[in-house]
Amino acid sequence: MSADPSAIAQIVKIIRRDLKLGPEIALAPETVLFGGELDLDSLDALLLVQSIEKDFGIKVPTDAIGPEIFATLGTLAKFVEQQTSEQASA
Amino acid sequence: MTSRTRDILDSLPHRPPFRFVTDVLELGEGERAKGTWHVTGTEDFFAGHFPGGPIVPGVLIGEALAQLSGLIVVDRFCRAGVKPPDTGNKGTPSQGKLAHIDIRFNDTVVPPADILMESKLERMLGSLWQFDVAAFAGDRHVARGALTLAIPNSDVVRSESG
Repeated sequence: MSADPSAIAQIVKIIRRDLKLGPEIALAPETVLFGGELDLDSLDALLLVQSIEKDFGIKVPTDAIGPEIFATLGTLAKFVEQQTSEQASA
Repeated sequence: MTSRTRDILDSLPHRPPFRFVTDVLELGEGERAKGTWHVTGTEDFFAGHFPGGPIVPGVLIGEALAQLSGLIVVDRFCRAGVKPPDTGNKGTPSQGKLAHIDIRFNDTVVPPADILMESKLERMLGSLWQFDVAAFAGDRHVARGALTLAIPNSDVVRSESG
């Protein structure tokens, strides 16, 4: 199941803001985060998690941060959506 | 300051005139640190920042907070029984580095002043150590934010944070 479009849109907004990406950079659920055009590094990932925690009001467990979650923008959005749901019901 | 905290402070590579942690008040379980920077007003940089109206440079408060955070790194390595990564004072490339800083300055600090600083390890991810930091002058909250240090060989220190 794919991530909710609103979660994707919010993460796209965070990535554009934090990485200072111009509109010429296309961001879609299938956009690869490490490698590919974005080519995030570990510091980008750390700061992105910090922004996601702040903007979504969730706590991202450090041991969950890895290549599976950060494979694509869509996998990241899906993870954030799951964490938001789980932490809201806890 | 205990002999242990003195040893940890001396493990930092920084030396005068570029050491901005004067005293270590608390080192908590490799997670937290409190310290002070005693600013006398006689430091050379006040001649230019600013003539006739000295203000502690915000960038140096950021550096002081990074140095305080570095004490947590050293403390954590020591608690794990591991020699910290090249914390001699020779400035070798293999020692830790400031990777990112994001600090908001709420107020200015005019010398002389004792700046109370606090740092808390928020997260470790690979070689990156992220800290929440704050600085106070008297009852004024003068700076707060986050900074990240890149520390080689961090994998030998088990993360209990996050």
